Amino acid sequence: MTPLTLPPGLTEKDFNDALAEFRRIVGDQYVFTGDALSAYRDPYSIEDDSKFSTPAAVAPDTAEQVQAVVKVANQYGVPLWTISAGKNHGYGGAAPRMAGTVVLDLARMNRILEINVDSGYALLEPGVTYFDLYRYIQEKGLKLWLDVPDPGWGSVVGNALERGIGYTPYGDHFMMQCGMEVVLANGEVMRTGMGAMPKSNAWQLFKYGYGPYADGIFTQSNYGIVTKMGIWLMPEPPRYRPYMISFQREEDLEQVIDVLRPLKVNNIIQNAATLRSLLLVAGINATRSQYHSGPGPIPDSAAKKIMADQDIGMWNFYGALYGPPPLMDVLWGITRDAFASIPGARFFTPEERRHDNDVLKHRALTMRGVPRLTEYSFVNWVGGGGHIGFSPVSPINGKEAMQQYIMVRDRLAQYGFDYLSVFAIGWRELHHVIELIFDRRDPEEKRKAYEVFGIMVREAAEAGYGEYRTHISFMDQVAKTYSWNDHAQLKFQQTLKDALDPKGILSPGKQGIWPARYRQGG
Amino acid sequence: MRRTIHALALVLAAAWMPTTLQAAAPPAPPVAAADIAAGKSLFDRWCAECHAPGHGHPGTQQLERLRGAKLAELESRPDLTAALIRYVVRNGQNAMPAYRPSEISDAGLEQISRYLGRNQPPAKPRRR
Ligand SMILES: Cc1cc2nc3c(=O)[nH]c(=O)nc-3n(C[C@H](O)[C@H](O)[C@H](O)COP(=O)(O)OP(=O)(O)OC[C@H]3O[C@@H](n4cnc5c(N)ncnc54)[C@H](O)[C@@H]3O)c2cc1C
Ligand code: HEC
Repeated sequence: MTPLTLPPGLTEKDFNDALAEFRRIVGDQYVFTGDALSAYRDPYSIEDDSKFSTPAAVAPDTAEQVQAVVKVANQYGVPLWTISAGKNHGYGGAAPRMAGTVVLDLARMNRILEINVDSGYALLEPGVTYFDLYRYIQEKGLKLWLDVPDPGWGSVVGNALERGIGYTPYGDHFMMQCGMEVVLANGEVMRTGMGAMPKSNAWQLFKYGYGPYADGIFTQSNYGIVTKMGIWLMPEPPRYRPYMISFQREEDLEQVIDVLRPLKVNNIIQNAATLRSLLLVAGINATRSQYHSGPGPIPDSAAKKIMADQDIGMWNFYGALYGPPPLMDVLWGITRDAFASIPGARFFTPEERRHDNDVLKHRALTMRGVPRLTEYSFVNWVGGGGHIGFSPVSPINGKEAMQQYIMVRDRLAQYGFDYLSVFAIGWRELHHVIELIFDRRDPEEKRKAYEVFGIMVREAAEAGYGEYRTHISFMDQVAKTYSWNDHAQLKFQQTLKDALDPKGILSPGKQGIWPARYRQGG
Repeated sequence: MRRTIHALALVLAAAWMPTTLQAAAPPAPPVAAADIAAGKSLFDRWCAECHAPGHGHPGTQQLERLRGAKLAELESRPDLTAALIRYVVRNGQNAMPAYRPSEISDAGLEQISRYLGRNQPPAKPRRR
């Protein structure tokens, strides 16, 4: 067990008094301490767990209980780290940024409050997972599709608040969010957008309401605790056709990305499609040691063998068509012709894939919003399962994608790590999500992962690339790379923090935003 | 074969396991059918996506690599003790993340353990 760290500045007596109050609010069995906290560690941490340890977790069941917990936390100065499903793997899991922070665990608040089929939305509590929502929709036979990230056990609310991504046309989750209920640091509860008007029936229909648009400040932040959220759901399309295009050469990346840009900007490619590197695809079914036993990068001969065995390319594009067949035929014609200009490009439907365990067959499920956990397989690429995500953003531009690729590939190779990545294609940009896979049983690998990650954040920023999100170990470093005009944005974020949460109790250090009381140390 | 695997699992876990868990487990009590059914439904909800038979399940896939085809599928294993299941679920194991008591209660975990442990032969006095 990691040693117990109390909230900074609290005596043991104060802390125990606060816990007694929490127990009174949520019930004895929903305040966890001691051995019951083992699962609040980050499973894939690369630093000492004691840096991110929690002395207790509190699991309320209602927004009223959240309000009461927040009031007690204010009174005693107990910091709270909010999680919903707590599956933020690769970015810190359920662990808080600052040791001594009590985890406010909303997993029990898992009610599906409303689903509207005609207008295509759901109103959810934060504990609702993609699996929960999917099963509910299936049981009721509703003609709605979800958009899921690869870990189907994540929270629909938590993922959107992290501005996570999925793979259908609704893949930008925060874009599809509409209306929130938020418990503020003073314990008051607020509704945003049309929800601020008592009789409005458009809370989940119109995002902006009246006046400054508030929802954005509750994402990747520590300004409030979201207790309800609306999310738009896609009506089931008449037909669906997933496909894969493989490209044989490393250097094809540049042309692939340049071909993609107009297709995406003009919405010819309808979904949040992805371009996946050889080893990321290979890692779903194979491990490194099957192809290469020594240290150092996978040699060309092994890469060729993987490509042949799995019938995949150096780069693999997974996309899908949605709609009535004539529409899909037109869109597919344009897409196919554009990619056919790349020598060696090969086109596949799932039926044309020869292996039962083929990755297109699995992506065909995620691209229609069926939640799975299949992608955890690549975490075993080197054995011993460990993974953190490095995710810089770039324009949809071939030269820049190539530049990022080479930078990252070479840095990782220098530290003995393989390059596994997905380029997730957004509306106007690329999320270049690199999965740094290490053996979590090996302290030396963790140390190296930590070191190379820090270097990559710095080098990316020097070239103008910023992370869209990051692991708790790097929240400060990444925040400091968004430094234009003497860190004007971070100062603004701190000003908001001090105004909204003067006691500094909500998720201290989240995304590099520290309340005044911890700022010196941060 | 089974004994080696079992020992290996305990060794893997032993490094972090509180000493009480390392003591020989008491003989498993007879298990009620209702408990098994409840355990099965919790398993389906929380574990099956990674541990069901067939492709696309990272747990099954990795256990096949580590323990061989016969021990790859948790639901048909004869060697899973309640102590091991409890430990792995609360602490995770390599790529498998742990579950918090807010998700799976101690009572629920007990039901899962009984379900997965149902194939275990009745405990014999242990030879060392
Ligand atoms: C193999 C693998 C594949 C992955 N693939 C994807 C992917 O395809 N797309 C993707 O987006 N991610 C992916 N991830 C990352 C991660 O697992 C998901 O984003 C996951 O959905 C995040 O966990 P969660 O939804 O349970 O959110 P939580 O862990 O509950 O929340 C995440 C964070 O949001 C904030 N937060 C949560 N709830 C609240 C609240 N109610 N109020 C205020 N703040 C709150 C907190 O800071 C919290 O730490 C992947 C990870 C792995 C290991
Ligand atoms: C995200 C995928 C995932 C989920 C969900 C999951 N597991 Fe696992 N589990 C794994 C993996 C991968 C391993 C192999 C770990 C290793 O490398 O040793 C494993 C190993 C185990 C083992 C150890 C077996 C052995 O021989 O060492 C047990 C027991 C286990 N899981 C039980 C469960 C139970 C019970 C649940 C549900 C409450 C569950 N798992 C959910 C992925 C998962």
